Amino acid sequence: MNKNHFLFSLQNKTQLTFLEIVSLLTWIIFKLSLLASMMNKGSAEFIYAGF
Amino acid sequence: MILFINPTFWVIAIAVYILLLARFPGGIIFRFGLLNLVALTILLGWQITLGVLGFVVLVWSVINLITVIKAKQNVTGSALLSLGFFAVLFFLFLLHKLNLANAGFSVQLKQAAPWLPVETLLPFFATLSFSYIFVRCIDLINSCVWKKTPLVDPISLMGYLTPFHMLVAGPINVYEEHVQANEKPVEPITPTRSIIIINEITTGLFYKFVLAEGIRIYFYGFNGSILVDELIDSFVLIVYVFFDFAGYSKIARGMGILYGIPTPVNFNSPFLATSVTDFWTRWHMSMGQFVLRNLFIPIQLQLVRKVGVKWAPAASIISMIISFAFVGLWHRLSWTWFLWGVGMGGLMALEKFAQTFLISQGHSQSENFSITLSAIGRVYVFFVIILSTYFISNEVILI
Repeated sequence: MNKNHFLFSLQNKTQLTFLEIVSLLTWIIFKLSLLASMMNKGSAEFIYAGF
Repeated sequence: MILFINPTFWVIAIAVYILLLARFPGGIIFRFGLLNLVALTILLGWQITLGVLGFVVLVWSVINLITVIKAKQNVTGSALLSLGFFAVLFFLFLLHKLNLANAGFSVQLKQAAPWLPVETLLPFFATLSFSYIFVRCIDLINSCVWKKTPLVDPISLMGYLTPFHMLVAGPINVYEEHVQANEKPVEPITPTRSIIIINEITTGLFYKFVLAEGIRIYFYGFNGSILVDELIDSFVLIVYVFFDFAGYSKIARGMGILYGIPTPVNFNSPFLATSVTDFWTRWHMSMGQFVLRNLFIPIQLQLVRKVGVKWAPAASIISMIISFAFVGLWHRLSWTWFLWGVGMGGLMALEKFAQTFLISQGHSQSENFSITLSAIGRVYVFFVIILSTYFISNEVILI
């Protein structure tokens, strides 16, 4: 098994640095915002029309 | 998959976590088993949950009986009972798979076997995604009967066989790891752990509902489904399946970390694989490890014992092909999936030969050679996966 992946090392961490916490929280908020948009058909259509 | 945007599911998920913290008597797997029973009752209804409990008690009783008979050194008795258990389990698996593959199957079955409770049995297995329970039962019997892992009580066993967070699409958890969870200290909730868990769950939701669905909408329209006519469609299909399946697995994994219930990692950058063998250690990893534990190693050992060490490479090829033929048929009972499995097994056997040959020629020691081989390997894997997806595309069931 390949255990050198970023997420494997992240999941084994007991402490995160301030920068890691800020990055992860930003990433979580970004994902949740897009997820909330996808739950609404109108906004999802708007997002994918952009592509 | 709609389960994960159901608010009730998330209310139950959080309630299970809070109640697990209450530390009522019993180990973590018993407490999880009990709460899992309640969660299933709310999510699936009491009739289905009662049916599941009945099935689990039956499995528990049979395995108990086999281990008792085996302890009395009645080899024939325990072997016959194990065989009977597998036969019944396999019969139920066949019913489930044939039902999924053929819309008129329940009517045909009703005519052929009027005594069978078809109207209850088939939807029951379909609701429970019986394919996963089937493989967990195999892991269970292998661990308890042959590896002598202790059999837990039926409530804890239900938490292993039908965990509500792994019900729809796995991953395939390991029975030995599930039992060992009782011995591990409960990890306290820290800000770091909370962020890691939330990150895992939100990444799963993002994969499934933003990326996978986004890809489908972009190529096939809002209400369109993926149809494979050309090779490019099979590329879209495999990327869609990756985000869909990996997304689900990540949600289950995040919840598993939260509860302290072993939930294996299922994907590790599969598109970076440099060989087909490497690909199958990165894609649906829990299935690959299940096959290795319960099929490949036991079959290979038996074959080598029969034919001798001299024929070990041939035994390895046969074991690989049988194991992957099983993986093919586990997906769907059809010639297409069977041939897909045999092809994958054969390809991996060829890769093993090529690797042995290259090592014997001393090529593996050259760094430049390794870099070139990795680059070529990624292109080769990409084409194999696209072509194999094209081959089975008409028989892929998207849930």
